[in-house]
Amino acid sequence: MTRVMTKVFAIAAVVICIGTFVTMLIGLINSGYQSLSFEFLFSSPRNFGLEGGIAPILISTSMILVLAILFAVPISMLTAIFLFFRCRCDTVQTRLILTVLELLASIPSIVFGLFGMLFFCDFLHLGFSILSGGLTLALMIFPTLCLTLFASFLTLPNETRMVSESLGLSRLTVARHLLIPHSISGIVAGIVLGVCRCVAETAALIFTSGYSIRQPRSIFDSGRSLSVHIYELAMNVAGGDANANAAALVLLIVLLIINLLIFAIVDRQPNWIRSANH
Amino acid sequence: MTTSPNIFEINNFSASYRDAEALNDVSLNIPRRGIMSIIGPSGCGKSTLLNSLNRITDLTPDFSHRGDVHFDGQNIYQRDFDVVNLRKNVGLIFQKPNPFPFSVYKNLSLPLKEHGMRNRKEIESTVNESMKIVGLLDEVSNIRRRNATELSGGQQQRLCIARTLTLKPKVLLCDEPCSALDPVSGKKIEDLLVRLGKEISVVVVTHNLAQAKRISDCVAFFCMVEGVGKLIEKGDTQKIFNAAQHHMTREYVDGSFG
Repeated sequence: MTRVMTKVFAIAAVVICIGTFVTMLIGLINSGYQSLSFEFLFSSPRNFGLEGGIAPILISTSMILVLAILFAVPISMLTAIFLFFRCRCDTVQTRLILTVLELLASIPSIVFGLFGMLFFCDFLHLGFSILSGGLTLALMIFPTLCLTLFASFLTLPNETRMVSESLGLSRLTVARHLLIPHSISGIVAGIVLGVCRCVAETAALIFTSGYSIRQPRSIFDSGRSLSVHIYELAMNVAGGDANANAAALVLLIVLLIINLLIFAIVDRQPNWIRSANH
Repeated sequence: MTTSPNIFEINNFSASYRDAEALNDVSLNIPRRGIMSIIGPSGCGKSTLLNSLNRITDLTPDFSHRGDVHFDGQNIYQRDFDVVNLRKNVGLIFQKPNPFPFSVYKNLSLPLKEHGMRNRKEIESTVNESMKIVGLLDEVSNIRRRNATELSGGQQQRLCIARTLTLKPKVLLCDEPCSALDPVSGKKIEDLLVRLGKEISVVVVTHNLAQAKRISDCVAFFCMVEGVGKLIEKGDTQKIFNAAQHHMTREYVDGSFG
């Protein structure tokens, strides 16, 4: 009986997941495909985005994304490594850090947006800029990324830890040669999650990167991200639905490509680990 | 530097995990050469003692100790003691073979590089030398490409021994090194330990009394007394197996224990 129930639930879950996705996709394609063209991708928006394309927006989005990842990944990596080496020696301290990280991970992104506006834009005088947005997003994905990395580090067998310690290997060596190669798939999964959250983020960016639809010249310029553009077109521009749908379709495709790319790299992982180990 | 005949001098050493005492008041000298077997029933603190000598117990959060342990005349628990240097000089072999999941060559060269050897040729010759001592040089080909986890269990264990030997340790501590292996592989490890015991100090924790009798020069017998591990008796192998003074030792080596 339980087996039948499990099967029913499993099938229901699959139907719901795929059904939602397909319905959404069909909706987007239906209302967005007329606007989607080569020109749409490679030209600037005109008339508040009702005409023209999304080229500067794509550039802003990638700049924000790259900055966010560039700041978030190294810091969360170091934090997770620190936690890993401390977690068996100092339970009170690590429990405190983990609790704080979990709390931070559950804070809504709009709060990060407000904080980013006050801290990066005003206090650090970065203004509405791609840098402010990137830093805010880095801060936003940091807790989740850190916890994901830490969880994947914990799968390192305790014996490996003991042996490396008994050989007098430094933490840096253990991290570089044992910990990171061992948890590479967890690390990549964490980064993919972070990337997707960044690309999809709207609320935190409205307050930090701004609305400007001009081509950004540097990271200190304001720039509109794709999700902010969709939000603007759908909510604040009358008749912007078609282009909003087209932009959403592009967003979906971008996410898909990023996912596929990163997982293609992970699949190659055994090879580069082997060749890196001589 | 002292010229004591003992590499380790353990004085009134007690060890506890949280509040449970695992070892009580152990005093034992470990000579610079030869094999010492540590025997006794499970849970009597043999492994704890072994782990304390390499200070791998630092990883256990609730571990605490009393008394002191001198390595080469230096108290290993004193402040500012160079633990990394201790671990370089005191190799530890675990029950389960645990090679790192990369090439055989890198398994051996990584600790060398860690401890400051930079010259490529020097590293290579040291690796080959260790591989030769443990008898893997002829058995395993293509050590730069071959992943260490692909070796057989016995080969893996010998690789682990070779890995510590690259650092030219003065002591090799083995925690039941053969018990996870088949008898043939176990015999190879035994022979290897006997050869090593001629040059350096080898300490073997074992449940295999026949093995202790075969390979060791001296034996220390540990046992639980009122729930705490204690050193009951130590002495030459012949004496412990044939003319032990303590009745518990006699019962244990006769197999009539408990």
